[in-house]
Amino acid sequence: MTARALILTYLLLVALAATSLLVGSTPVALLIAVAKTLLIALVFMELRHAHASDRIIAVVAAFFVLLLTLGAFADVITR
Amino acid sequence: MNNETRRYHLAVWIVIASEALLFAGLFALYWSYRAEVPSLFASGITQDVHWIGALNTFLLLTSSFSIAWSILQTRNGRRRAATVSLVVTLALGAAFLVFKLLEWGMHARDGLVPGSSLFFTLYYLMTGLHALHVIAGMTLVTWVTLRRERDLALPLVALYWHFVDVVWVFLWPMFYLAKP
Repeated sequence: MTARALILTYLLLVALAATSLLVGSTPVALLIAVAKTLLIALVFMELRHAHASDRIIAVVAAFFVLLLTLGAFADVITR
Repeated sequence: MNNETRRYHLAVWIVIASEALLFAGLFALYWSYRAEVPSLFASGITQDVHWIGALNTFLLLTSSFSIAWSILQTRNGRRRAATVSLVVTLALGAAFLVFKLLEWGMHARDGLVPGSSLFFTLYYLMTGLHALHVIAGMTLVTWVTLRRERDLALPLVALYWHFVDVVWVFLWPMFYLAKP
């Protein structure tokens, strides 16, 4: 973790948040949220340099959050 | 990273994964109801106080930066600068809660309370649960600020604080931005 990486990440996060204000589309707003999450996880949470076990937990948790949300959504739209 | 530190990190990641699944249940509820009655969510989003949503996003993103900055300062041996960053993190968390309370008050005055519509029931449930996590995070940040020895505890508390920020990163488009 360096000062330069932290400042750059923060500026990118603020720029992405500002972009979210300009888009009206749900998929784009959610994609921006995913991009912000990746930046926070990789740089601020130091997942880039984390032990493999920590990274596995993070990826599996994200996968199950996605699976549960998409599963419930798909159930309603395919009725 | 020694074995003890690694074990603590693993434990905190397991806590975060469990918390993520708690919110996943609510996300699933939100998206399935939104697919069923999109018009209700479209009108709900227009009734939310958009400037507070945007301001609160800015406050939490900045607080994530300030707590990460405090870790960097701690590693560089600058305890005083780290303490200032932690106090800034606490102030930003407190400001987030003040604006959240202000928004809830504005909604309550307009009769938009839990139970007034499906959208606002989910809104209060999810933003309320998130606010409780902010309070828990602030308690942990206060505890670590007051500790003499922070090397082990600070990165663990910061992980939790970043997670609370990530949850808000998704709540913001769901309740304020994305129109069905």
